[in-house]
Order: sequence, then C-alpha cells, then structure tokens
Amino acid sequence: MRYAVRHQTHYTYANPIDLGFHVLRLTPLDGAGQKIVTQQLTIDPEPDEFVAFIDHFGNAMHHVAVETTHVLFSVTLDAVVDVARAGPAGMGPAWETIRDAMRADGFPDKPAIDEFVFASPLAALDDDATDYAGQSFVPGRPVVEALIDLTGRINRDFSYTPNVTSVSTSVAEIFATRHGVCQDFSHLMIAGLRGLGLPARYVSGYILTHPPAGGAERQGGDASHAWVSAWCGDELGWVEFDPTNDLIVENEHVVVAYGRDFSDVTPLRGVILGGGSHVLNVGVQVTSLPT
Amino acid sequence: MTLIDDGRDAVNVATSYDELVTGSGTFRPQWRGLMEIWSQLDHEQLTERLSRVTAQIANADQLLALTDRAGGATARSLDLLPLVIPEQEWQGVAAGLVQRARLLDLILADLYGPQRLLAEHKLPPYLVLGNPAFLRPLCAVKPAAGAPQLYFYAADLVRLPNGEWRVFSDRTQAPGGVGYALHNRNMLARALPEIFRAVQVSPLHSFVELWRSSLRSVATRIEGQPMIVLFTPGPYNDAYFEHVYLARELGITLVQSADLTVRDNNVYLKTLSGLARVDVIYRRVDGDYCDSLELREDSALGVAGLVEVARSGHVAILNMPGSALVEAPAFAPFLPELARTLLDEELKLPAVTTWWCGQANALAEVQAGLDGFAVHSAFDPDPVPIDPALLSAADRAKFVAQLARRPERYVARQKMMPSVAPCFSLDEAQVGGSRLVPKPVVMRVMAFWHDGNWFAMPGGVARVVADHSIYRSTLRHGAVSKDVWVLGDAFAETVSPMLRAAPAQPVRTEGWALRSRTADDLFWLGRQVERLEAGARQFLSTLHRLTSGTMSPRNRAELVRLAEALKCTGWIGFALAAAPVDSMIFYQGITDAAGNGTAMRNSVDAIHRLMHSARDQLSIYMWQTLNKLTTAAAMRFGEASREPDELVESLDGVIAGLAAFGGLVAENMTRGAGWRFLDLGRRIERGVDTCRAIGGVMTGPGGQVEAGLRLALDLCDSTGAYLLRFPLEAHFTHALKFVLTDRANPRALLYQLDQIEHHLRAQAAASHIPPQQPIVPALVEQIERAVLELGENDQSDALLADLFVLLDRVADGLMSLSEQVTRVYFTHTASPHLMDFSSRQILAKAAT
Repeated sequence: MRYAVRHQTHYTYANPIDLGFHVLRLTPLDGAGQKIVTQQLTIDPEPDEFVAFIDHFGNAMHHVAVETTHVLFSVTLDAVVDVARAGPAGMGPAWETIRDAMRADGFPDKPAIDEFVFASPLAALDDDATDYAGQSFVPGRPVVEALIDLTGRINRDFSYTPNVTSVSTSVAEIFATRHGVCQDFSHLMIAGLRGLGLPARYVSGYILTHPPAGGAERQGGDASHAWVSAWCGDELGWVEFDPTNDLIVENEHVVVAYGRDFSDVTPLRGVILGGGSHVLNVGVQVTSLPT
Repeated sequence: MTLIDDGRDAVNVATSYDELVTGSGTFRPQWRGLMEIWSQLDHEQLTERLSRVTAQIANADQLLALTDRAGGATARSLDLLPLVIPEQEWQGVAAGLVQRARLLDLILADLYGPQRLLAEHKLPPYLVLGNPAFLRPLCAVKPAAGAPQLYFYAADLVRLPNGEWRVFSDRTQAPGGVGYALHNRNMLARALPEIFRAVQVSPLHSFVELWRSSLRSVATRIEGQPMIVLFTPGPYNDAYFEHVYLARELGITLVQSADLTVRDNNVYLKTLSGLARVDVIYRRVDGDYCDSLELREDSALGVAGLVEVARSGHVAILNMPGSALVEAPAFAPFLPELARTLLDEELKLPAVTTWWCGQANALAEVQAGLDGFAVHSAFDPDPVPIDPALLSAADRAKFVAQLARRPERYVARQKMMPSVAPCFSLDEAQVGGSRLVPKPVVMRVMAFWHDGNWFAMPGGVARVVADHSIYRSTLRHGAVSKDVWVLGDAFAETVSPMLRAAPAQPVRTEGWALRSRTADDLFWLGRQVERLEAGARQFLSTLHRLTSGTMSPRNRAELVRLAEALKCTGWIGFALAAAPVDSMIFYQGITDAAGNGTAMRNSVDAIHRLMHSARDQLSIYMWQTLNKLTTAAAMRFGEASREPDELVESLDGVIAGLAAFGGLVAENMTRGAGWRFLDLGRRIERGVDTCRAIGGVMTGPGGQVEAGLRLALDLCDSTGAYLLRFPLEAHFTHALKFVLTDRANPRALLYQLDQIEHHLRAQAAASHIPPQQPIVPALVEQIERAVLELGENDQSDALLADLFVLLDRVADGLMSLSEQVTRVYFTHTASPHLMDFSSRQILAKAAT
C-alpha cells in the first residue's frame, strides 16, 4: 500500500517570540515493514539551526532553532510511504517462555529488547494494570493469542473519549476513569504487559484516515496515532497491536517512532522565550495513493 | 515501617575501629602530635574557640546563602577536632579513589556509547536501562575537548572494625565537598594555630590550583581567555554556600539558568556588554534538570538547547549530564569484575558488602540472613533504608513479599559499624569536662581529572553520623562536619612541578562586563526598595492621622485622599479605599495592610530574594542593613493583632533602614554598571510612585485642594524643604512645582527623569549599543509645559484633570521604559548579535 501523509502543526503566539527551540519526531521510519518514497519537512519561519540525527531508539529526530522574532511557527511534514507489513505468522510460544528469557537471572540475551520490560515515566508498573492484563495471560497460552485477547478487552472495557486526559495522565488514572484516547490505552496495555514481565514498546505514527470502502471507521486518524508493539519471541519478533481500534497492525498504519512511552517519542516538543499564550492547530491526513 | 537507626546507639563503640586509640589504649601515632598540644588547652579555652568557629560559619552561611529567614533550619557546624589520616594510609585511599574514578568514567563512556558491557553480560541491563538516571538524550554524545564523562568524583568512605576503608557510596552526579573542606580548613587554621605549627598537615591550595588549570585545559576554544562558569541552581539550593565559595576560590563565574542562553548552537553568558561565549561549564545542577528541551521539561534550572550544544561539541560540561547513572548503589557488586575487564586490575577500594537482589543467588543470600542487612532502593543514591530486624511481624511479612515480587528494585547492604573518632563539637562542649567523646564518622573524599590523570584531594570532609544520616550525602544543614587532615606534604610535592610547568593564566570572569541577571537583580532591588519606602511613607501618614484622637475635619479630608493614594499605588484594595475613613473597617484594614498585607509581604519578600541574588554586588554593610530590615518586617508577618504605636515605630524603622541603605549606596558603591542599574531602578520607581501618589492625593472634593497639596509634599518627603523656601501654607502652584519640576529638589519628578535619562545614555555608551527609542525627553517636555500653564491661582477642575492625565501618562511611560531596559539589557532578545562589537551596522539594524 502507498500512502500520502501530511502532518501540519501551527503555533500562533499572542506576543512575539524571540527565541524558539523545537525537537521534532515527525518523519516516518524507514524500515519495519515500510519504505519512504519521498519526504519533506517545511518549517516556517526559516530556522537558524536545523540538525537531523538518530536518537537512542533509532528514530529520526530534528533539532530546530529559530532565533529571529516571530509570531507564527509551523511545521509541515509531507511524505509518501509504501507499507507492506504482514501480520504474525502463528500464535507464538507460550507467553511464560518469553517472560523467563527476559528475566534470565538479570542477564538476558537481548538487552535491547529487555529495555522495554522496565518501568518508564508514563508507563510505570501498576498492580491494577498487571492484574487486568493477567486475565488474558492464562498459563501456557500462546503469546499472540493472549495479546489479541487483551487488545480486544481494552477496546471494549475503556471508552474512547477525547479531551478527558492529557499527555501526562498516569496509568492509574486511566484505570480509575476508564476513559481516554489512543495514547492512554497504549500506556495501559504497555504497563500491564511489563507488569507480567513482557517487553512492550510505544509506537507513535499515523493511521489511514478513511479506511477502504466497507471498513469500520477508525479512531485516531485526525492526529498522531499511537499503538503497542509487543515482543513475541525470536521467531515472530515484535508484533504490533492497536487497542484503540482492536486491530493487529498490518497495512493501515505508518510508524514514526518507537519508544518506552509517549515521553520518548513526543512528535513536537519546544521551548520558547516570550510569547505569552499560544494557539495550537494540528492536522493529520493519511490518504492512500495508487502504486 | 521503621527506619534503620544508624545512630550512636546502634553502633557498638566497643567493636568499632577507634581512630584515636589502639586496642592497648595508647594514641595511634598520627594523633600524638595533635593530642600533645590539645591536652595543654583547657576546656574553657577550647569552648571559646569552638563558639567563635560556630559563629563564623553561621555568619558565612548567612552572607553567602539564602538561609531560612524563619530560622527553621539548623546551621551546619564544625567539630574542633579533625580526623587525622597518616600519609601512607592516605596514599592507599587516594590510589583506590583514583582507580574507582577511572573505572566509573570508562563505564559511563561505554554505557553512553556502544554498551558492550550489556551485550557481554558484564552488567545487568536493568541497572542501566531501568535506571531513571540513564539520560537517553545523552547517548552517543561525546564530551567536548577531550574531557572525560566523569570529571569530578567523590566517595563516602567508612572504616570497618578491621581498619580497612570501604566505599559506602559513590558520588558521580555533581558532588560537593571541596568548598566545605576549604572553608573548614580556614576555620580550623585560625582556631588551632599552635597545632598547625606543630603538625605537618597537607595543605589544600595546590589541589585548588591544579584544578583551576585543569578547568582551563578542556576549553573548547584555543585562542583567547576561556570563559569558565560554575553552573548553580541558585540561592534556593542548600549547597549554594559552597557554589559561591568555590567559584571565588577557582576564579570562575558563578551563573544560574537565567544567566545563560543558547544561540547559533553555542552557550552564551548574558552580560551588559552583550553575549559572551562559554567554553566550560562546571555543572552543579543535576543532569536531568539541565535542559528543558530534551531532558526534564518541568525544569526551570537549566538552559534550553544545552544538550544539542553538547552534542555539537561546542561546550565542555563537567560532569556530563547523565553521569549520575553509575552512582546507583546496585552497581557496587559488579565493580570488582568490571575493574578486571576494563582496567585489568583488582579493585583497590571496594564497597561495603552489597547485594543486588535481582539475581537469584543474591536474593537467596539476602533472604537467608535478612536481619543482617539494611535494604533499600537499587537506584537512589540517598536511599531511605529498611531494617528488617526492626519491622513488626506484619510489616515484615509485607516487606518479604515485596522483596520476592520485585527483587530487582532492591539492594541489601550488610550492616556495618563505622569507625569512631574523638569529637569536640557544641554537644561535647556543653557537657563540659575534658573527655573526648568517640562518635561514628563517614569520610567524604574527592578527586578530579586533569589531562588524563586523576588527582585526589589530600583532605576531605568527615561527617559525624547521627540518626539515619549515614545514608545522606548532605553536609549542609544540621550536620556536624570534621576537617580531614592528611599528614605530610606528598601531594604538593607531586603537583608543584606540574603547576610550575603550566603557569597560571588569567581566566575571563564577568569583571569586564556585569552579568545581565545581576544587573537585573540590582535594577529590581532598586525598584523594590523605593516602592517599600514610598509605601511606608503613605502608611505612616495614614496611621498618624488615624491615631490622633478625635478625628478633625482636616484629618478626615486628608485620610480620604491618602486612601486614594494607597489605592493608586497598589497598597490597598478598592473595597478598603472606598470604606468610610472613620469606620472600624477602615482602621482595621489599614493596620492589617501596613503590618501584614499581601502587598507588604510581597515587597519585603522581593527585597529579601533580590538581596541574596545580588549578594556579591552589595557591601557587607549594605547587605546587613537590608537583612535587618527584612528580618524585622518578616517578624511582624503572621501576628494577628498589633498596636498602632508599634506599627508606626516599625514603619519608622523601615524608612530609617532604607535611608541608611540609600546612604550606603550613595557613599560606598562604585559608580559602575551595578550602581547605575540600582539607581535607575530607584529613579524609575520613585518617578512612578510620585505620579501615582500625587494623582491620588490630589483627587478629592473641590475646595479642599490644600489638603492634597500638604499630602503631596508630605509623601515626597518635601514638607520641610518646602517650608524653608516658602514659609507659608501650601500654595497651589508653588507646591506642585516643588514636587514636580523643581530640579533642585531630589524628590521632584523632573529630578528623577533627568537622572534616568543620564543613566540610560551612560549605559548605552558603556555597553556599545545604540540609544533606544527615547521615552524620557518627551515626558520632561510635557511636564514642563503643563506646569508652565499652571496659573498663579488657577485651581480649576479642568486644569487638575489635565494634570492627572499627564501624571498617568508619565507613570505609564516609565513603566514601558522599565520594560525596554529589561528587554535590551537583561533578556538579550532585542538583538541576538550584540556580541559582535566590530560590526556596528548589524547592531544598528537589529535595533530598528
């Protein structure tokens, strides 16, 4: 599948800004079942510094400094991406074997995967989340089967409600209110999996805004989307699940960045000098293109 | 759950190593010289010396750091007896310390780089990837200019009963101690001169000298004098004393967040002469607080964009942010093996027996002998330990379950008995008698990197352990510290050839250009001091009239106008200003506002904060004058009721104190940029207050204009001077001219405006920047014209109304002038290329 992605972010400041620094994680990942055909970042005003580099998790990052007075700041990403991702080839091993390999008495074989077992700022280990996830992970159950079950349960048990949670809402709060958006459901699922000793990553990216004719309407298409990537053993590797839409991630998703939680992959983070209040407008469009 | 008690009671003195005496009861050789003289000094003499030292420390702390004004915090104190370490033993400790520093630096370089130690199973991934001190944005960021990851290292050591030193905790974040050690040494050298004459104590100055040249050697620019800064969280940090003290000793510039900015991917110091590039940052701000863009976004202590500058190699940061990673207690058990791997050496100075419970055999070991351990967080360098032996049965069961469920979160350290050293601090002095009390001690030792080698300070700071404090790193409040004496002079002998080889070069300090933040602080100090004085005068006038017995019509008329003035200047609210002046509500409201009101508190608090922040620009006497004043004012806060007499007295005290401060500023302060901004602030505030207060007191029923005039003279402190010139009742034109346009009257509005214009021109010239859009001359002209138009006896309402509009305009003009000053000189946002003195064209362009 070929997609055109457009992600626009506009800041309008009440007072002029003299100095603005921004860190961007907006551009789609090249790899993990997708390929960048073309891609362009347009920044207004013209930045004084623009540096690209790869972060600790292998994501593309851009560092932007605007050192002239400005009242508007906008970033537009235009990308064309080919996605060819297959779902998991089988249900995988019993989930406990993965847990035990991660534990390995402190010295697991794959430290890079182990990183995603540990608590992180926005997905702290939480007893409630662990117990909730544990209901899907009955002894001996193949890991993918359990993950499909958990994805579906979160989708049913929690209601998609925009604007009731913020970027810093904790897993415990989500559990208490049973409301949230894609980011919250992902954090909840990640915390639960890690509580069980299973590695789970937070995925930031985009989802096709309008599914192919006949498909169900998707949530999360009008802004950055988020879902979960779970380690399913050496054979299957990482498999991705979208609890917001109750899907195994295949060809409707475009990955931007992987991290432990939202705080590792914030699409746009900035510090400005001056400016008072600001108005933010974000728009995301993902449309399919003929190949 | 009960905390572990490491205090004196828990330490069995009989089985601890005794620093002073051997098992057979004789003094150890290193103490003999000292004890011989000590025993000749009588208790009274020693007590007196001790109290002098204590007073000096309290004084130093008060002068240099923002001490708790309420007096809640206990002062740190110094024990008169040092901890004495023989030269040979010290060599061993120093070698071990240096080895650990090298090792920890290599570990950091690997973990922020290729992470081979994880891939090769030398370290459990959890200790790094699960460690909150692992700062991922710093991965693959190499220190600039060949500097190491770890540049300054400290360790807290304890001595076991068998006489061996062990590391209790590693300190790699931004450890302190040198400043306290230097200060303690100065104190003791003065207190115990006869002992210093008789005992060869290794001096500390060559350590500081070498450190100074080491800081220069990592500068990113070769040419010119490097700019080196000590980056502090500021006066609210409880180690601020040490930061101020060290910056002075090292001859480097003390800066905080607001002093620094990032432009064109470099770090700059904001000075009145523009932006000056920073080469080296000696960091005393915790790593995760250093950059709100890429690290903790809630940090107000950092510099946005700093990590990116570090990534580009344009500034050396010592230690690199993220260095705290390896101070997690859980690293200890892995260091012996890592020393073999990375250094091919055996670890010379191991830690006290420590288990990380994340491995089955370690956990089993701990579970089996649970009562012999203190158990705490695997990561927190200042942990709150749990002593399983002291838990109730229920708590213990809960704890055991917790440990089994998430064992990787815990570290168990074998309980141990630190050595005891003889003490003579305030406690002992109070008890009296000549007996020296042995108390357990922890010794902080430090080392820095220079040109590929590490140097341990021949000394340190020992801390007398009380309560749970063995687990705390703090040497600040409430801790009794001891100087550490290393006998001999080996260190100086080692480094003096190096010092001779690298002759001291001057380091650039802000001497050539005042830090913008300091100028900002002085400007606001000037404004706040003036505002408080104006407020005190208004309250005083009001209270005098409120407490003069029966209220005459004249008093009433004046009070109405004073209430208006207090409202216009923001000291009381609209509701109170509208209350009848002979009502109880008004009386109560005024006494509350004068003694305890929010505006009054804000004003006093602001002065208190600013005087600390601008501490190094104020003389001791200026500082003490303000300190006395704010302390006295703060004492009144929170008092529920007060007598008006008392209030009048204390407001009189405020005015007298501020007058004394003004006198010191006028007579004792060098006419540099600091003085100029302080005075500029005062003039602007006095101008604004004069406009607002006159506007207030001139508002009132017609036919009572004299009341307003009298008050205008009064509030401008001009009554006496006026009566000398015009020995009559206040005359409309004369009085207004006297407070507005009489250039011979230093309280007159035009006098302020003239001074302001003068300061602005002088500063623009000194800072090499073009004059800004002039605001003042137009105001002067308008006031002069308006006053000329005042007829001899024309007191028409229309004329007064015009005058009010004008005074309002002047006040607003001065406020925007204040903003302009802030923008041009303090925030450096008007012109990012100010630094480039050679290209005036750019400057001119930037300013238009």
